[in-house]
Amino acid sequence: MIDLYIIISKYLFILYIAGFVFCGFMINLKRQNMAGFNIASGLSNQRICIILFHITASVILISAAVEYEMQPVIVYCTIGFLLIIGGNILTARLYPEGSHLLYNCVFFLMDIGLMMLYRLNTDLANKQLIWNAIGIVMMLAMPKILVVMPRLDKFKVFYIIGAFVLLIVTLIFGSSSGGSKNWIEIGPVGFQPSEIIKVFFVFYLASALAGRPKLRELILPAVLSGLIVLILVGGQKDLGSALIFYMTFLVVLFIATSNYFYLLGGLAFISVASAASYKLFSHIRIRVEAWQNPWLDVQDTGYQIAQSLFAICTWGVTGIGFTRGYANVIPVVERDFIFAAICEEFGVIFAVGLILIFMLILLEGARGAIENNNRFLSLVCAGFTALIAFQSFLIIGGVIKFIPLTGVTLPFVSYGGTSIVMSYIIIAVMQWIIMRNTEYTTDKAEEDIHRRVRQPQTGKQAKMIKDDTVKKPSVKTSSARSVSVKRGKNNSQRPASFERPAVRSTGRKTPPDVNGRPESYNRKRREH
Amino acid sequence: MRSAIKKIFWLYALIFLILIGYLLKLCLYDSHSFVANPFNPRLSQSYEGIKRGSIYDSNGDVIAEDVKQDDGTFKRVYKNARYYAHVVGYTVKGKAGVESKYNFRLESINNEFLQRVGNLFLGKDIEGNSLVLTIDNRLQEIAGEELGNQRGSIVAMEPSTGKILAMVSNPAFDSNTVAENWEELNSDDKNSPLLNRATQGLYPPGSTFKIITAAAALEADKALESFEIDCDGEEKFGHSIIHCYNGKAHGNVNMDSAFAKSCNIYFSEIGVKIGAGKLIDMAYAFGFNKDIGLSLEYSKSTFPMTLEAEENEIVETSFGQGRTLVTPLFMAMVTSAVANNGMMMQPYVVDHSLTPSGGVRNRTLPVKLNQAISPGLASQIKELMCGVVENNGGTAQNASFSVSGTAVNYDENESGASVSKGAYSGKIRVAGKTGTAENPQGDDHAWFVAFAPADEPKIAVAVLLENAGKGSNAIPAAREIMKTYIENLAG
Repeated sequence: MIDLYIIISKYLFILYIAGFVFCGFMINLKRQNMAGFNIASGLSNQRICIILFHITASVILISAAVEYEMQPVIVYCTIGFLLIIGGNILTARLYPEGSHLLYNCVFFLMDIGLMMLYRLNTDLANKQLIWNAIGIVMMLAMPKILVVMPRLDKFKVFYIIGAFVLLIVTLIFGSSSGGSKNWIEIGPVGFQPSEIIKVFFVFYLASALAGRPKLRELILPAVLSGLIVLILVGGQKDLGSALIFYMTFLVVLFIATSNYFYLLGGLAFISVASAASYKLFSHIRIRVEAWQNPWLDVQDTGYQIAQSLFAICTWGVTGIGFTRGYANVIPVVERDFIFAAICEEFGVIFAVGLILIFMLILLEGARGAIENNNRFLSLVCAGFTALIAFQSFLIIGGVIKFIPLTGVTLPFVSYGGTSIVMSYIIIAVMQWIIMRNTEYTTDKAEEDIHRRVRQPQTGKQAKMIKDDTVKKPSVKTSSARSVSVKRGKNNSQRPASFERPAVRSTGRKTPPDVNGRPESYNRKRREH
Repeated sequence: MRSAIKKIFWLYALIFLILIGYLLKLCLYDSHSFVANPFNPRLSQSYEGIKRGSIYDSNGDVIAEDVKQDDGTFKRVYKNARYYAHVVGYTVKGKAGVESKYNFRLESINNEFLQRVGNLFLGKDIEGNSLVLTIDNRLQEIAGEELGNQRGSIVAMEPSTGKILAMVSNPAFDSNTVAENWEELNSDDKNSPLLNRATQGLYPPGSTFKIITAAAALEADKALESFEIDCDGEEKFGHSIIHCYNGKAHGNVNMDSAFAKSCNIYFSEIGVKIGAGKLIDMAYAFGFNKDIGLSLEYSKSTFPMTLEAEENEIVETSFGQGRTLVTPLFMAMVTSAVANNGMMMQPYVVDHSLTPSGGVRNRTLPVKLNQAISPGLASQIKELMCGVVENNGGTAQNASFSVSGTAVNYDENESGASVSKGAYSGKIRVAGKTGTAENPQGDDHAWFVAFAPADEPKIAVAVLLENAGKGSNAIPAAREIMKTYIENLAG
């Protein structure tokens, strides 16, 4: 009976993720006015997909309770369920103006990770549940904290010192895991400083490059970034993180300067450096050779990647069914290779959906960065997007043998306390930036704000709306002040092309939407 | 800055789409090349409560099947177990043979959803896919009977496809009782019953290697066809003296008669004339030292001679002694290549899978391994091999046979035999070569390789009888197999 259910569930899972991704992309098309779609119902359909996924998978886990103990698995699934529901309700109440598409993506990834982990390793899964709870609390609290933080772009010295202190502490006190010295233990708790350094690093880059930098002003950030990358490669042998830092640096630099020379030059440099390190370092050579032909040494150096490929490919594109796979034979499957386990049990089609969810996250990040008029915040958002992009690309690409393997976590899915919590913090900062996106310095925008502040009933209505539509007046006025100071000379004049005609024609009479709001509100928020 | 962010986003979109494309390509296309790797733990899993697929011969006769016991579990039962021991293998104490290499197919449940529904509501067994072998039960039985208690191996192939029609190795074991006799089977170093002599047994090829020497000579210099010597039964080459079999003096011989009479001295002269290089080239062209791509366990046939070889090694290698080692399967492949216009085919034993509802899956398509020799040269070698059977003084004159012209076949759907007009009637032209392989451990091994009908080859056979003396002792087994097969080919 349960076998039959598992077989049916393979297709249900694909259906859920397909529905989720479809809604996600339709919402984006609607924002570009390229398709008709009801955003609010799209978002709630996505939530239904997540909840159905959780229930369908939970039933399998609970039915397989002979393997696990009955009571803990029920508790686990219930807490997971509460995390999703609670997270959804709280984000809707606290941050109706945040990007709920982004929240949904995060919750779905979290749940896929939670379900997969329980099946692979119940102990780690229980810990992961706690880490996720902490992360969600952080994600909910962060924007409130950031609101009272004055001028985040003025602390670049603090960020870079923080990064270097953590790096050096790791170098001195760090312990090794999986060949990299990237782990610090304080009493019973261990954490991975490089995950925290990532956040400092992006804040530093954004604050250093926020004022349109001249060439000589780029030298110091470049040297410091290079130093961080060198310490990661040389001192900690953490190639994956080093590569993520380097690519993030390049992307932020390119975005800040719009200069192709830096991007292409940087890529050329990393190619030469990779080739050189291939010649110089044996551990890099071993990895590259294991990537080129894992079959030559299936028992040793090629073992991990070969086992990963077996897991991904043996059962075809629909997988073998949740709980029926053999992914436990892959070393560190809970961390680096969780994607292979997902491919095996949920199928490759589902895994493609998972990659598309990451693309949705990147799309939200890019949108947040584009729509913000504050160069600093825009760069922070772009930097964090780059972190997620390269980290997920590196590990998925490594696991499927597209690129040589570098051991990093798959954000929100892999096991790893620091990685999980910092990923939520990154999302929180991105959400905070997205929430501040409707601030204009144009008179019209100011007028708009005042008009809305003067109409308290509109604000009240907005609170009831779960959709990322209307922002709360209080946040708006305070942040508008801080932003306008920074923007000053450069950004006061938006490019005309950026403002869409639809925004300006707010005077047009439109019927209220499902939430009783004039449609113009929706459009105004979304189209920026 | 905004356009830069947009460009970067499109860059992400591009690399992620490439990633998705790569993942799909990996799973849909590339996976065939590696999921069958023995290090994939999924392949060796067996599932309780599932009826493992059956194994059938090419006529649909059952070789192995799961039979339901009273307690609801399944027991593997093998028919004709001794004859199929090495091909089919076993599933206890580790797996071997087809049972091992095709475990995944035998255990994979086609249309699992419907089968589970059928199991749940109608109580039907959940069945794995069955396998249909290329082995022909009639030939396998004759091969087994001909071997009797004689240690050795017989392999029969279809030259044009590489289908293995029969493959028997002796001493054998009973797949039904492997678990009970495991200790004994494993410790019997003298007889090594678990060894598949057909694919893993390495023997000196003896005079059957003259096929390759002759091909090397005719390829090197067409004029060698009319090269003649005067054989007086022994001759000195370098510091060793070469004898013909039993020291027999063959008198004046040319290529044709020397091949038919298997004159060692003639081929030693030829070997010296063309040199190590030409011999090495021809041996490699026939696929020595290379993988043959068989899905069962096998040993590579080895040809270790190098360009630096001294004269006596060249001489010994020329008539199949020296350090050259071959498996019976490999000699069947060499013979098939001559029969198949010089094209060597990859041998295979599993023709296709059958789903429980009778659907054909994974049909094996013939794969060309290499063009060993040109069609013209293949035809010349064939004539030399026909001479062995037809010439006065040829070593295999008793290999020829006649067929009646009526084919008898058993069809699984009809009761009893169906008789039809045979494709051939009367005398069948046979091409063959005997070999007597000297062997330091004891009596000579007897070899015979042949194919028939010579002008339209349908079957090639290699017979090896350990310590059975001269090559002609191996002829009757090959003849019976070829005769049975050709007689029953429907017209």
